[in-house]
Amino acid sequence: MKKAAFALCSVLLALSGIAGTLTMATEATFPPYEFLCGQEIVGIDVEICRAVARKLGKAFRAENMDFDSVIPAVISGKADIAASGITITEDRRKNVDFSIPYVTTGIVVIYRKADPYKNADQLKGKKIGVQSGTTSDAYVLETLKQEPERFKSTPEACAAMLAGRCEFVIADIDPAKNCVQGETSLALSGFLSSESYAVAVAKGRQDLLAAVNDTIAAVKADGRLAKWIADYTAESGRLKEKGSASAASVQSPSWLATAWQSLRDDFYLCFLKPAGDGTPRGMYLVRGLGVTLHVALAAILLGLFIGFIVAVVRASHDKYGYFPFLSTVSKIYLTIIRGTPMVVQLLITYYIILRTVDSKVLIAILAFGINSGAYQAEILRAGILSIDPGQMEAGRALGLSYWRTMLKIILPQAVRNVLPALGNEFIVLMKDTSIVGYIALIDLAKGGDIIRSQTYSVYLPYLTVAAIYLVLVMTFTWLLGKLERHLRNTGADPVRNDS
Amino acid sequence: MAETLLKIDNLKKSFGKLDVLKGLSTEIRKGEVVVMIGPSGGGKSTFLRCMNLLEQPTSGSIVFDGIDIVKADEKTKNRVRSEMGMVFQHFNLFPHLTILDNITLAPRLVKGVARQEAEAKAMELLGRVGLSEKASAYPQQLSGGQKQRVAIVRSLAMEPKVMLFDEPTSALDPEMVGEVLDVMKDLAKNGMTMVVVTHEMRFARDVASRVLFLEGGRIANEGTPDEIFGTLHEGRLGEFLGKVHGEIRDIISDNVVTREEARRLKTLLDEMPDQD
Repeated sequence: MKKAAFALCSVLLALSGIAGTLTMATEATFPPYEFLCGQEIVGIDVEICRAVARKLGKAFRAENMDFDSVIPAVISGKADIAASGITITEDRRKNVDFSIPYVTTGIVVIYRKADPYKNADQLKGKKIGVQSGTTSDAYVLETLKQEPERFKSTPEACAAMLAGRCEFVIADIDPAKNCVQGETSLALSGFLSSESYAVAVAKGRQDLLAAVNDTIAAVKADGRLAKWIADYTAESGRLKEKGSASAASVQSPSWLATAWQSLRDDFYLCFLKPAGDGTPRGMYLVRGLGVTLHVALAAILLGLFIGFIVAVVRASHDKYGYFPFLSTVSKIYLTIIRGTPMVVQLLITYYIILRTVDSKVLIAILAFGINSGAYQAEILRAGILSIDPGQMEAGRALGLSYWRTMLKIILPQAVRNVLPALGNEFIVLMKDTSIVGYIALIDLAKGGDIIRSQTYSVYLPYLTVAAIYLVLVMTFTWLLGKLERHLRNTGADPVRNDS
Repeated sequence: MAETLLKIDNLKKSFGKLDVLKGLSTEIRKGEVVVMIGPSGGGKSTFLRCMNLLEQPTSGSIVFDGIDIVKADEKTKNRVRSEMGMVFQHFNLFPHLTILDNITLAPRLVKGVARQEAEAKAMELLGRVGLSEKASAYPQQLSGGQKQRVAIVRSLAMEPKVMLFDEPTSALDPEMVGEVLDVMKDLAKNGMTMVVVTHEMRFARDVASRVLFLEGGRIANEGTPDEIFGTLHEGRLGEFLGKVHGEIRDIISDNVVTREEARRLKTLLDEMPDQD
């Protein structure tokens, strides 16, 4: 079984090799190694991997995903190489091959100056923030023997510490430096332990590993690596000069004015201030909203299409015993889709079923559409079963075929009867799309998350995202209400009698 | 004798273990009005619904237009149904469509008649049943009698060769029965071939060219209205008619007794000396 899976992997890997693109898996909230500059992923690791691609004569592409997914992406063949400030550990070595280290670094404690850190004994029993899946995570778990507070990125952990949700943060030295830069209330400790970053490739790809090692040796030797480290440390510092001007602000006349000023500053920082590529940060939300609407609306339509077919097949079987085979297939579909979590379906679609598909929007539409189809099918089936059998008989007695009667007579009435339930499903689906961040698609929710990770400001990005969802759902509810009233009026309102 | 439209031979229908029709044979000739009467559960409605294959017969044959439609394929069955009109007890109008759309739907979809032509025909038929002004109304806005007249028009719009009526007046308030029966009488007068399941004995006696008495899944008696209603019968038919007539007599005599008693009471009251 394992061997077969491995063979399949190899074949697919070989295929992706022929495609001529070197795909890098990374988690782009780890400056200066990798971070988003506008829409583009940049950083030291990206430069190294691009150099590898150039050496191999291939096109290059960087894929942004959660850190937890970076190594699985290499193992599953979704990506060729992973570079995301990955520390060499024995556990990881069991699953992937590592290149020679390109940076040696270590983990440090980030602490608030108001609550200074002196030695490691102090950490015992405290709430300690880490980036999920990093060596800091392992350090807390294995050395301190306690559960850390896990966050998706180090900036997120720092933001949480500033908000009082944890007492210390443990992180790799570079992102830690980055977090402390410009944040005068935070400071760093010395190394808790040191470690080495290396590039990960799938086991058995000796040629690729050799190319990576050669490249690392070359960029170390000719000073490119040192230049990248200097450049990107400066670049990521520029991205994050947080309120250095307002830090020296004069005494404010009142707390209200201070609050107003800070809100204005925050608003500027979160939405108006240009991100790396020169467009305002607010564009993360605008583009994200576009993705959310695109995925949600397309998935609703796909769900309706699947829902109609499955509902008609199942209802026909319930009522008249038609389509026994299709009905069984439909039942299996409903059982599987309704019996497993949406997130799991999305991940399975992304990593297994459609792993050769590039468009993440398409993957999201298919996963959500197929999921919603199951729920819509059951709602529509209830609607079909609620229609008096006399309607079908009347249609058939007039010479209409079964499908025509279904389409022209039964379904219009069924949809009218279940419109409120159907609308509810649409709303749930629209909000459910906020989990597409799992496959590294930047939707509205993820857009807010990115702004938060760049600015350390939590309130404004999240509250704005929530408000936009609320407005979306309210608009949608209003439209559905209008449709419902329209359908109710055609047929029951005696006023139309004279028209 | 007019040509045979429907030739039914040894028709049987079972629902699971229940035998509802136990071998019926008859012929419906062009221009005939065949009325089926009989007690509930006798198989009248099932027999009617087998004729246009709303129920698939278990065995036997129904020859329509020279083909046995019991064994026909789905496409032929659809065509056969389009040539037979059916009027239901509960009207079964399409509530989401206007009266006009109810009537024009089938001609347009099944026969491919152009909308304009279909609507002109529908308006003409609506005029004949006195419902022209309801064309743009929805079924919910009509009374039961109006709904049933529209249902008849909906069937007629397909220009059927035969019209099947399944207890068309049973779900109506008594004051609305007349308006529907009048439309049916009018149809009969114009030579429409009709098969009617009904409990309206007066309609059966006045309009039918032939009456079938169905009982226990069989045609127990068959004859002209005079033969059925004009003579005394032994057995089940006698019992059935006796019951029907008895009920009517009861209603009439109830009223008479009440009226006479009222008169007698009044006389008595008049003659009585003042008590106080």
